[in-house]
Amino acid sequence: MDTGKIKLSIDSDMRQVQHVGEAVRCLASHLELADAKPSSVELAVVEAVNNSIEHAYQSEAGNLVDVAFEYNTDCLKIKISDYGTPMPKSIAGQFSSDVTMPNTSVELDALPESGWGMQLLKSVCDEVSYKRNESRNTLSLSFKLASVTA
Amino acid sequence: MSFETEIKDGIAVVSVTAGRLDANIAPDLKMAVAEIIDGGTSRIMLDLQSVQFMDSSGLGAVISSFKLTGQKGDFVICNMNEAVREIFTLTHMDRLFEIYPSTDEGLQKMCA
Repeated sequence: MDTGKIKLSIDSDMRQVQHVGEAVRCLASHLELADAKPSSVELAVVEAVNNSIEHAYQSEAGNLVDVAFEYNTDCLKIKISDYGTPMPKSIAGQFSSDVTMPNTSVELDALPESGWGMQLLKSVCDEVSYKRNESRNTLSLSFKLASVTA
Repeated sequence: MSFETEIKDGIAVVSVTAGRLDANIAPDLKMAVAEIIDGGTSRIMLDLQSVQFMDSSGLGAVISSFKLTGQKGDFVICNMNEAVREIFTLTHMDRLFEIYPSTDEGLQKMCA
């Protein structure tokens, strides 16, 4: 399995996300990932698709989310695209910086219940980038394959 | 039904029976735990044995449940698989939660 391209499209309905997640894990389990595990790839894609549905489409069904996989001998690239509201700069700008998890050394009541998704995504990917092109938002995730580090 | 609750020695053991603790069922977990606490039980063990996948929404629901039990309550987790544990490790939540490898071990500690 040297190179390949696969495209999936789902409706912006949370009940559809599981199917993408399972497909991604299955695909990733057939590739020799350098650092990530198939379950981590699934986590990253699920977080990205959740983000498209919740933020770009405000949890409204009936919109399109595209997930495109492309792999070669070096890496697995996954692009998640939607056509909704652009990602706020405060979030998109985080992809070029180090992972900063929400502060956990706080009182129990102040412990954050949200805001973990994009940081988790960054933690498990080798590279993350965001691009707005006309009406299309694309989050690109990259995972190195084992041949790169061999 | 995504959850089953059994009371053992005054401890509510909440078993997530769904294979995925994600954005679809996270609100239901918060509600299930809130009902248990409203019923007068603030010692809760979350059994994740059936959970093969968890996302940040699931993590948020677990944190919310932990907060609902308050400072005077108990909230422990048991039976995490490797993928779920990774999320707790990456977010440093493994330092905050009491996590046990089995229900029996968790109950033993809670009843000690």
